[in-house]
Amino acid sequence: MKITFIHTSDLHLGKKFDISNFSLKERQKRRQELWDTFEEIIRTAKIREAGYLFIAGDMTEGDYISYKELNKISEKFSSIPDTKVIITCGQGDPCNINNMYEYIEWPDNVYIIKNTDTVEKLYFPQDNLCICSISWDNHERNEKSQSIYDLSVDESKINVLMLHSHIDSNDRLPINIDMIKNKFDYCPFGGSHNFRQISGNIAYCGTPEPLSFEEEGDHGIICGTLEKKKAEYSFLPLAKRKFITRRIELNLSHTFNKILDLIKFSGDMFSNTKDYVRIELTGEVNPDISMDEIELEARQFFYYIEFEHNYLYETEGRNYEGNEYNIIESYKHQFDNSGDKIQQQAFKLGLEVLRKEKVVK
Amino acid sequence: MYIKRLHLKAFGKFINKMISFEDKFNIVFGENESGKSTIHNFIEYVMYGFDGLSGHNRYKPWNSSFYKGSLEIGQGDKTYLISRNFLLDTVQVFKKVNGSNEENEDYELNDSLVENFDVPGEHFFNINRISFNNTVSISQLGNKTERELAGELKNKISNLSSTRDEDISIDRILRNLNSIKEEGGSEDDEKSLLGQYVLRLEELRKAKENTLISNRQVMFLAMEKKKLQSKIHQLNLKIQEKQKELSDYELSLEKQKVLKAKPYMEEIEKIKEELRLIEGYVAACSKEDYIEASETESSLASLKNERQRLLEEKDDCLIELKTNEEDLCNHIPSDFELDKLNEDYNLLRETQEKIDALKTRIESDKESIASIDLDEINKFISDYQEVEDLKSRIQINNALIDNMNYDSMKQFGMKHWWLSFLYGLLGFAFAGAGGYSCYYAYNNNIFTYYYGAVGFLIGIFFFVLSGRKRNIANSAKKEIESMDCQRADYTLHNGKMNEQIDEILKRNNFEDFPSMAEAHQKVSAEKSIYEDRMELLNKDEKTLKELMEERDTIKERLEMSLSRLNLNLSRETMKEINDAFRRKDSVKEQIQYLKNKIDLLDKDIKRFDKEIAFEEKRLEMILNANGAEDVEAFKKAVELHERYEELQKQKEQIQNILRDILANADYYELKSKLINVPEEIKEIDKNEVQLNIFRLNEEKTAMLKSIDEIHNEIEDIEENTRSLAEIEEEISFYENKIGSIKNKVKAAEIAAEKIRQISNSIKGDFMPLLRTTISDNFSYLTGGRYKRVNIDENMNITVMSEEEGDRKIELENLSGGTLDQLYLSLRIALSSILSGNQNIPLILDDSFVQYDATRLRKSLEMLARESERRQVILFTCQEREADLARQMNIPFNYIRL
Repeated sequence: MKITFIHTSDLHLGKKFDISNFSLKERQKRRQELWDTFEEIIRTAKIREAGYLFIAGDMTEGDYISYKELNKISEKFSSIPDTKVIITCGQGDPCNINNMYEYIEWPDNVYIIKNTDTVEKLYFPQDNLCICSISWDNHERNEKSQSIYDLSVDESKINVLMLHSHIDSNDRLPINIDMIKNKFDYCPFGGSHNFRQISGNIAYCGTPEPLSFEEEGDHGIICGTLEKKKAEYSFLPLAKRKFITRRIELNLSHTFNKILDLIKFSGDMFSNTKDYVRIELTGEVNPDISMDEIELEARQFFYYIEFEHNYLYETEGRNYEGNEYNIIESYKHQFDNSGDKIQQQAFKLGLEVLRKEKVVK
Repeated sequence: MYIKRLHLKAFGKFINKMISFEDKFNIVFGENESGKSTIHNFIEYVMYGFDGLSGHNRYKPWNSSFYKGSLEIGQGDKTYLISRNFLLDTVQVFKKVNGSNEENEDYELNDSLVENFDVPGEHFFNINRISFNNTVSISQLGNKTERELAGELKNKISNLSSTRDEDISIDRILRNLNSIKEEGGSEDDEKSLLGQYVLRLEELRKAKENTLISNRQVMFLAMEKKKLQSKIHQLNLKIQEKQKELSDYELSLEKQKVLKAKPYMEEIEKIKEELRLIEGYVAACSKEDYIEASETESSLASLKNERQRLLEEKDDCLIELKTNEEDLCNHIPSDFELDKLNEDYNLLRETQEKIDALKTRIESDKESIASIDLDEINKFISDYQEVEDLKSRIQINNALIDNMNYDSMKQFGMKHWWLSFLYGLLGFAFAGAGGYSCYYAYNNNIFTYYYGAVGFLIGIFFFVLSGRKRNIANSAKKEIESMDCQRADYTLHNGKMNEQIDEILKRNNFEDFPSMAEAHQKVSAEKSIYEDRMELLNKDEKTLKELMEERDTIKERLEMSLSRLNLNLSRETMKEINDAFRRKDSVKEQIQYLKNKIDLLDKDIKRFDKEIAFEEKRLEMILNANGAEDVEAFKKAVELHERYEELQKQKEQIQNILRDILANADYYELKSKLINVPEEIKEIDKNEVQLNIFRLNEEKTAMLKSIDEIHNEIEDIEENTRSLAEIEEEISFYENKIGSIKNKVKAAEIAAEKIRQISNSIKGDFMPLLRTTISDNFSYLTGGRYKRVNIDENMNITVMSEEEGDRKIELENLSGGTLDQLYLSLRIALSSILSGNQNIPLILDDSFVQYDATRLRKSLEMLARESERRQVILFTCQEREADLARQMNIPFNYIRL
């Protein structure tokens, strides 16, 4: 009989958000959205009657999760008694003296991998399923790869290797895929925050809710069925919002309205009113255009928008053979097109003040 | 350098408009809306192109498909032509070949293309559009007081000296940048934004510290809880152990009970088996009921026997009663007359005897007349009578045919015919005589002859008589004809009757009528004998009939009487009826006796019926109440029930014993539960063990309470502690804020520094040049009255008057006219500096509108002087500038739009 499973990881419940442009309210809201999505995963497990829920590390943000919140998680798991929840500790929630998992009363269907030096095996005879996993014991490093390579498996069983691993890193449980891919029937991996299929039976599910602009694209969970030598699964998007970066190349011919329109119509309206959008502005801008004003105006059309100022003000100007007319013209020539942000800011600020002075006249 | 000519091929309202300027002073007069601004702007747009779309559309001619124009510039001995197509926004600059036809519009063909300049203005004037608009094109200074004018000029010169822009004040800029810096403030200043943020950050860091402490406390409490939980686990194990000990002891006690109960259980099993066998047949029934039922049944049987006997007796009585009631005497009605009946019967017998005698006589008479054939006789007599009849009819017919009447009729006819003829003739005669008489009288005119007309009237009288007679003659003729016909009929009829007579004679074998008459006499005698005998016979038959009718009457009367008794007439019947009459009374008495008896019997039977029904009902009720079909089954059920009761009683007794042994426990459950429990008892102190368990449970409860308390404490701590994530987010938020403010302050510092540097360099490079140039121009314009303009480091501006011995004069102390000269000097100085001393044209657009005559005179004087050095174009909407210039003998080129 086929085993039905859901594979998730990197939920980072209780996470602290470091996105500097996020307002404090937005950070709080986003933190709540992580909880909402966790509940959605539980609901999905119930609806799909999943036999197993693999959580491949970083279920919570160890330093920030509270006792009460952990009890809430435990309560949620007890609402799916027919689903066996297998939890590996990742670098976000390492299994050490500070880990609160140890002090929580988990329901009988929850199995937490507590081995951090050797691979732990959980065997479920009713499904002939053997789950192998190893947890992290700190936030930084994990070099226990050898214990995984040394692992021997019983070929008569369905073998699953659940890891929180950064396969391409040096010290964050790197794994040589060739060493494991034929040994296990399915490898639910966590650690990478984007969905990624390594091989037919090895996959990163990514975070169910993206956490930063580095995590663009769809996010969700993996749902599938498992048999000996046969893992069938598909990606199920669940995320409430996406992080989207759009690049807009500016040039000197762009007017105020043109730039505003480029920003406004850079993506579909539905996405604009729902997702987190970062606009990366590149190219050259006429110094006469107030970009601050454009940004302020553009915010009206987005749920969230932030700007990456990679554009340059045109300061070369036209050469009048030293006959710069006034101080503004001279000021523009005082700055070179260096990428120094503070210089750019100073240039913008001075220009603004000068221009205002000219208008005031 | 000067603007030589404008050619507005199609621009605004102008189509193919040419305007030529002199290289010195030009006054362009045009009333409002005459197109001054259009020409002014034309110069700018040809030299610099459009600044945005609004200018482009503003001057697009509505009545021409072209949109272009050109401008000629004279530079020394060279002339350049700048041609711009506004539609395509292309510009071309040609160097004009000397001697080419100025009027030729297509001079581009003859002239050589110099170069494609994007902005010819920047090339020729060496200044950009902004500078052109600010310096070359001078708008009016406005109607200001001398003090205001002096202040404004001071500002302009001071601004120009430090920023090269008369509107930009270096002080204000630096002040603004400084205010930005000050807005941010410093970390040390608690009142500044930065200071406030730093304080907030400190608070947050403390809060973070608290949260971390709280988190550690929570962790510690969670550990405590875990420890307690493991202790509770240990306690549970101990309690289980003690409980096992106790339960083992209790089990062995139970086992003893089971052993004791075993024989009773076996006995009870037997009873149960027997009960099980009879159980299905046992019904709830009462023995008393059964006794009553059996008594009722026997009394019912004796009642039924008695009733049967009575019924039989009644049946005998009924049979006897019926026999008596059916006796004839009972059917004889009271009005029945037996004597009359007997009398009638005797009379009937006598009448019958008479009838029999008469019948015998009639029989013999009928035999004696049987030989005579009466039909033959009657037939012959009828034939004879028919012949006689025919004979008489023939005689009658003969009498009718008699000729007497016929002849007299003939005579009567003839007589009247003749009379008619005679009267006719007489008529003619008289009529003719009368006619003639009249004719004669007429012709001869003799009146007396008219009396002859009387003869005419007589003639008419005779004609009438003649007509009557002729009618009578005609009637007689018709009568005679009908008489002829009747005679012929009678003759024919007689013939036929004679034939019939002959036929009858022949049929009766007679030759003639007398022989037949003879034979008729004989036959008539024979017939009379026959008729006598027949009459006698008829008389006898009549008598017989009368007798029979009498007999029938008697018989009918008898039968009617007898029919009332349903009897037929016979001798026996008569005898029987007489007998019955005699015994009538005794039978009636017997019947009455029997009826009385039957009534008594019926009453008895009814009484028995009631009793039987009552008893049967009672029996049925008893049986029904006990569920039995009959008394026999009832008997069996009672016996079974008694046995059942007995067994139940036994069972109950044993069960009571078992209950005493096992209490309320189930034997089999106990038995199976204790199957592995050894039979011997391991003695323990039960109370002590129980006390131990109680103590352990108390300990456990205390621990559970502690766990609850820990749980509450954790909840309390977490509820009163801000989330670490939130605090850290806030910290990073404020750190970012502080960073960005610091950056802004730094940026403001950098900007201020840069601006200060530029300003210093302007002061160093540009200010002396400006000062010299203004001074030169001012000196020139004032005709050397003021030789210098001073600007010191603090931007104090003074002018030095030669007349007053190089005394420094504050601008506020200068007259309005001198200030105007100073302003113009400033403008000219700027254009000279910016264009690199190129003497570019000076364009003034309604600059003196608000000036009074004196001030205007001075200004014109000044412009005339300047026009010696460069081209001056003054646009005005008033004639007074030109008029004044003429009065002052200032040479100028007057252009009227």
